Amino acid sequence: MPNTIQTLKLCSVAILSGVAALIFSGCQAPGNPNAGLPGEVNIQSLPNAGIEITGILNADGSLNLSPQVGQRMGRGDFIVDNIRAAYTDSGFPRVEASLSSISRGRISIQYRFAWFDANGMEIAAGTGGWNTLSLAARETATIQGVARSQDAVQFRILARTFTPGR
Amino acid sequence: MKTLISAALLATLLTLTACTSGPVVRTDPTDPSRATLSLDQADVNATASAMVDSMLASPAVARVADVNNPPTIVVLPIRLDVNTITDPRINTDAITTLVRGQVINSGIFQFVDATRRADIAAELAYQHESGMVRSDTAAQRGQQIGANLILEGTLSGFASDTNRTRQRGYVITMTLQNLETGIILWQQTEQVQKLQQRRTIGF
Repeated sequence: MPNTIQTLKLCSVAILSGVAALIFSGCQAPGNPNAGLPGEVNIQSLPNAGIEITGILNADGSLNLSPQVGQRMGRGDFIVDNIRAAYTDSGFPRVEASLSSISRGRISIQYRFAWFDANGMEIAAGTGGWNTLSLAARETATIQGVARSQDAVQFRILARTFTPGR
Repeated sequence: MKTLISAALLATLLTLTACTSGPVVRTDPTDPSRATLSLDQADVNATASAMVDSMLASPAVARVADVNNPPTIVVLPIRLDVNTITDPRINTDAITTLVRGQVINSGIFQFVDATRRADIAAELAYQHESGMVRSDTAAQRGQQIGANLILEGTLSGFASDTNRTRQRGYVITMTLQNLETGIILWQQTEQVQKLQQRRTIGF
């Protein structure tokens, strides 16, 4: 009998720990733009919220190749086929990402860009709203964002499929 | 009799419940999830953002832009093509305001607003002629900066309805032009298209 109680206690602790871990992982802020090295691109799946692409520009405004490019992240209907960056002629960082549908039907994708300076502070916060992209089955399209400041060195792209009216 | 009163009360209650509005919540003005057939706030935000992206990426704009000595742009309100758009709720000023705000903050241009000239002139007249303002604190006349460039735009539309669908299209064009030479330095067109399926039953 004491063994049964001990086992029950251990099970309770394990379950509570699991629940706590799930809660804390759910509360985590998606993607820290400060994390990583220059040139690094990180693509991660956000459960039920699409994908997040974060990157830090090299000094020449470019990005390194990422092994996550071309990989399906989570259960999404699209993949990031390519991502590249360069300075515009005016000296503003510009990022382009190619998104490819892997769906058999037409999908709508919402995406938004956010830019950060070297200290990780967001530039022109609140001005980078959601944009919409409509992709036919297996179609590829490019999304593009230009920073609102020449001081931008990091970026974040959130992209998600959505059903209009929901 | 009791049944009749109960039924009347129930009917009144149901009617009042149906008329009650729900709580008001703030939403994201850029979220296009709940699109309407009109040019709504999410479209305006997306259009302005695309216009600014295009302007900041344009090689021709880069040639005239100078952070140390930014050229001055006079902004004119976007002209609405009333022959093709009859919806009075479309706000074209919002596009201009959003574009202007984002480009000002980028630092490569400075702006003067043609629509505020009468207000500025009235304020200057008050400062100089009313006798109410200390002369050493009054803003000097003749010190305004003349614009080198002019930013203007047009908004036109399309409408095509069938038995099954209603479709609306909007074409927004913005142009940056050199005031002296008349040369168009930059032009960008954004198109928005909305499609709504008609319901067989309902409103």
